[in-house]
Amino acid sequence: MSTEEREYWTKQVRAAQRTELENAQKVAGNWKTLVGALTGLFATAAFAGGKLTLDKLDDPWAWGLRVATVVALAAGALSTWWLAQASGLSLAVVENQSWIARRDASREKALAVQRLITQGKHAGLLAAAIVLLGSVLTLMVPAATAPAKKPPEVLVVTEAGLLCGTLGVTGPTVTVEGRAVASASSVTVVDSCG
Amino acid sequence: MSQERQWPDQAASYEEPTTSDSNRVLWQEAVDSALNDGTLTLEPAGSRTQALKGTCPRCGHQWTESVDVYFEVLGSGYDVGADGGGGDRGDRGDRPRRQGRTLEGWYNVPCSCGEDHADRPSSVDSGCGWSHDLAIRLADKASA
Repeated sequence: MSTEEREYWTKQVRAAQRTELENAQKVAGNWKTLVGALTGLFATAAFAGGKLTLDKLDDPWAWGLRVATVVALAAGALSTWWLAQASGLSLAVVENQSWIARRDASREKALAVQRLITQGKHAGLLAAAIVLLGSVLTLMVPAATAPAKKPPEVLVVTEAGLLCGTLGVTGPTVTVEGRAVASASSVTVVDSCG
Repeated sequence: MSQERQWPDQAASYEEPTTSDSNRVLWQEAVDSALNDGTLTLEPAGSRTQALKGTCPRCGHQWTESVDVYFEVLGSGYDVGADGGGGDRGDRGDRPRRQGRTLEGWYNVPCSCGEDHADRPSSVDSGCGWSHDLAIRLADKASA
């Protein structure tokens, strides 16, 4: 190791010995940011408008967007976690304070941080792509068509007995299940005659 | 290790040892021996900090500067060996750990004597050259 390099890393060791409080506060700040980002993810990933909106869509769109929401949430959470890790989420007692160890650890950390950034970037871009595409699809997909409304069924008590069926009108005559009803002592709307 | 038996040698020429395991062991044993016989002492110098001062195990001259030994330094960042790279220990990548309650770590403890040593480069203004890049283990025995 050259004199210049030794002097540099000696300064780094001394700096590390004197910045414990700053290190601890930086880690605390990183955790605060991480928790905020993870909480905020739920709002971002609910791009399809949540369950109430999804229930108004036809399958397979509704199911597709549900799955996309879950995948976007997972990818966003992973990305946030990896990038937060790259910023530093841990405090550790540094046992080896020799300048060679400081130099070697610094280089190893740089490579590890690079890997975390790559993973976090890819997961984050995947989440963003899903959110964008999903949001567009939510706007474009037509709402589910409402089922055709069935005519009401009624239970009618007549002099001839009970009649149950679809209420209808043929000319001036009221019908139940196609049969004319001239008079009734009671008419009750029912869900089904079955 | 025959070299150790010749220490301390006040007439020793300036020498920067290579970072070999044998040299590290030699320096470790020399410092341990000096701590045992009291020619080097670790004295309290603050919270989790001690000062290593005394005479050089190699040249026997008084160090002009004590070495501040910081135990339990907190490092932040992504934990890959957490600054515990082995360097001259040859076991880089191990995680820092505490052996029970003993405070200990690896430190550079270079000679800072003010005496003249033959062959000392003009760019170097003190010391006999040891321990150069060699790091040794120091423990706070009071915490054991």
